[in-house]
Amino acid sequence: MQGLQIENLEKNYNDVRVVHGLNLTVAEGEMVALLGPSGCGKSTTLRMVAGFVEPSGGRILLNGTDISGMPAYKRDTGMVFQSYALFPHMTVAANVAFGLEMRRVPKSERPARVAAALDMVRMSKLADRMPRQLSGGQQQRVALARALAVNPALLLLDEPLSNLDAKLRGEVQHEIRTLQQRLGLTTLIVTHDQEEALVMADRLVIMEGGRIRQAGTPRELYEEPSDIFVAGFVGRCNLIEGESQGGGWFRTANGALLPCIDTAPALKPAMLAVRPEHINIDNENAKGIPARVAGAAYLGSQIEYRVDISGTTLTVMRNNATTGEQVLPVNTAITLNWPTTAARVLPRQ
Amino acid sequence: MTGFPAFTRVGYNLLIVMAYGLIMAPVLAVMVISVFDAEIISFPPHGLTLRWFVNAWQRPEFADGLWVSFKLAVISTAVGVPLGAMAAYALNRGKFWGKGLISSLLLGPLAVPAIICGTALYIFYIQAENVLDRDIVGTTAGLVAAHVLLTIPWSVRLVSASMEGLDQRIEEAAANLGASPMIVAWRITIPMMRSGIVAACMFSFIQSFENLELSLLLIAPGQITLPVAMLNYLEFRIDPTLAAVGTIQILFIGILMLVTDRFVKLSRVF
Repeated sequence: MQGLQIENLEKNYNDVRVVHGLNLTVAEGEMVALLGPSGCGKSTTLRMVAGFVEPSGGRILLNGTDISGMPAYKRDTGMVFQSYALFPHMTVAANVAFGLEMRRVPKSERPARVAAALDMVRMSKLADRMPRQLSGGQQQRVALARALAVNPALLLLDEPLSNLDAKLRGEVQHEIRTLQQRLGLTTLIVTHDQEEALVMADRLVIMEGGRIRQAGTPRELYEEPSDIFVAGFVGRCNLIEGESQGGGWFRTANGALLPCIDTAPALKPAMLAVRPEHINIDNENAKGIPARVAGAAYLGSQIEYRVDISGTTLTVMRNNATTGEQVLPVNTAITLNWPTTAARVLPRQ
Repeated sequence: MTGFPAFTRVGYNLLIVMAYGLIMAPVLAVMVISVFDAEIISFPPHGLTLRWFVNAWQRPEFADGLWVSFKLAVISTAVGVPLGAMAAYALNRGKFWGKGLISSLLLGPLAVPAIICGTALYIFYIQAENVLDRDIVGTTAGLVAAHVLLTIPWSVRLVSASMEGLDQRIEEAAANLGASPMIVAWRITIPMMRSGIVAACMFSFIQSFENLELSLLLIAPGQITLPVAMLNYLEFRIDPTLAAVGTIQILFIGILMLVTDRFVKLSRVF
């Protein structure tokens, strides 16, 4: 079987279990992101796949071969590190050629393959520079070229963009994604940045406390989060305490009755999850939930409101679609409504 | 209070000049005295001359001593630095019991006065000779071993310092690209520790080159090192010849430091 399979992978440090029986498949040519807060075990998992950390249990299969016990230098993976980890005493070209040399690519073929790899990341002109003469973005490209030059069966990206500034990060995200799709690279990326994961990956795996919380496409995770951790971690989300009444109604802890998706058995206690951009603001006399504006911030493309429903505060994002749209003043009485499918009832943890 | 910052500034600069003056005074004194034209050193001098340098050059014990010291320092450095570097690698990367103890022991020769080291080694060598029934005191091997002891703390300390700043992810990157641990050490780790190794070589060389106390008790007849030759000369005469030899020694080490600095910026090592 092609691609990467992780079966019941575990890691204990002394008595602390940092990865609990992890199961994960990355299909050939697919890009999967391990996403989670720091300390969730995502980096440890990646380092076990690369061979830098020895698993305490479970198996890792790459293209059908069990590589769990193989030393790192025999695994056919290409890794890009957060710190880039370029060899400081070698030129850009020598950095890229190192992997080819180690894999005994004939000397005559190396220059062409180095050139091709550098060309892919648009770094050909700087082949003779030393790493310290490059900017962060350029070093990042060289690190990527170095990993790609050896045609690895699996590309591993460890927070590859976190040292770049915000603008450059956006560009490089798209660039890496395009390259990965063009070359059909099986890729596992670790990140704590949800936007990065949403932009780049085919599938996301949300991790917390050494376990997988939910895995799925960006749309699945965003629209159908399975628990409040995922709902709060992927995108912004209003989480309202209360209990589901059944029949499409949710009663908040403060007693307000809100429309929600119909959960057949009533779930109590529960949390109601509503995305800020799914909430409509209407005038005072419209049909819906009475509320008042508690605060507003003009963000350019959007206006962010803090609204109050009998003691419960929600965030509402409105698109600034037309110019000259007025920001509602604080204390304006308004009415809120949302499609019932936009309000999901989740178990309280 | 406008004059106050200017005043403190002058005071600060004065302090710097005084501190450097204090440190440099003995060195400068030696260099000045080496050109005084009188056998008994007196101030002010009767005149200036270079005849002490000629005398130093013509007396065989100094030229021979310089050569013996140079050879000894080169061999001790060549043996001591690899040993110290390997110890530093093990202390930084290895996981074993008694690391702190081993580290303290390796740095020990720095803390013990050299004359005590020398005496202890002398007594130890004599005892060892009795047990092994072989000559140790007065052999080249015995002397080199003693000087290697001097170079070890410097090598361990300086190489450790350069390893601590080394990003281990770089070594992982090399392994990821297919380099076995031996190749990682040879192609990545050692080149990255270059500045520490060069500094270790230089300090080891100087430690050995200028050492008097260990050599005094352990050298063989006919293998007189420069510092010992100078001490011997002092027993019979006190004239500026020694200052001339000292000046040559100072210049020699100064040039060595300048040359080293061209390859590795010494200011970056410390």
